[in-house]
Amino acid sequence: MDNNVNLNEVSRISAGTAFKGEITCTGDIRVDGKFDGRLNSKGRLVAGEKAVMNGDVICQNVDFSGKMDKGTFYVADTLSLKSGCSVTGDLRYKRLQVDLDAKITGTLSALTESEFVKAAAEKPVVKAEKSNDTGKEE
Amino acid sequence: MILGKKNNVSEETFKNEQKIMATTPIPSNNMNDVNRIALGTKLVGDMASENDIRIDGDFEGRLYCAGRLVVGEKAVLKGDFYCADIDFSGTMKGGNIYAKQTLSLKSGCTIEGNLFFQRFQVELDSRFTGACKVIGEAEFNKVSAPVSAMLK
Repeated sequence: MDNNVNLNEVSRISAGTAFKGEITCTGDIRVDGKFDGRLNSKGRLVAGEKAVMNGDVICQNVDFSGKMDKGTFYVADTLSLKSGCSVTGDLRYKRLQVDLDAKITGTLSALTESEFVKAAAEKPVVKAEKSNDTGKEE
Repeated sequence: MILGKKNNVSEETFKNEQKIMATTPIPSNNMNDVNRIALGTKLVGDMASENDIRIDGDFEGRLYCAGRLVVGEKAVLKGDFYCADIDFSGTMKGGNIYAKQTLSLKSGCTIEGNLFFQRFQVELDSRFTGACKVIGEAEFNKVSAPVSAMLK
């Protein structure tokens, strides 16, 4: 693992934060808060112990210590499920690493490169809420 | 005993101070508490946070921040933003900014949209097209309620 990551280039959803929607990023991302939606990253996702995620995660590498309520991982390289994590959903990966005490409910299957490209190109389900210029409630 | 005792005053003061200390949020100087949307990252959707947020990438949607929002020079925003304090150096392409307290436009920023705030500061070389209005805390809480509800 490369430890010489510039922290200023890492996006971060901290604890005490909730996000709903789509994230696209070229760099690494760390999640400690609540995430609901679709994450498409060309780098690594690190989900902390308190992270609660829901939805599709499309990433190069994933280190997961949090909780995935319902969703799908598409990991082009290594999916690493850390001790204490809890995952419900489908896991697609090239390489898989699971620590003792990782709770997994769902399906596991290897992912080919073309399948990954297809998943990454899929259109997001979520859309941004319109600006409330008109004062309209959601 | 609630009644009587004259020296209750100091005890009460002490208790009050303790209460204030317990309920006052510690300013989140911890780097790990700050949300960061780095350059090269794009968020579309709704986000709500108790902590500070720094944006250098793109954000489109609605954002609630109980702390300070810092918008970097290269950031591009669109949508509605509800924050306690804002330092804005980036670009805003349509939408509204609501500041519970201070909105500060930094030199070089570009804003197309409407601004609502309690206190306002503009540096030279800020470009701003839109309307502005002073709002109170009650109005801020009202307009931000749909997004801040995400934290519950």
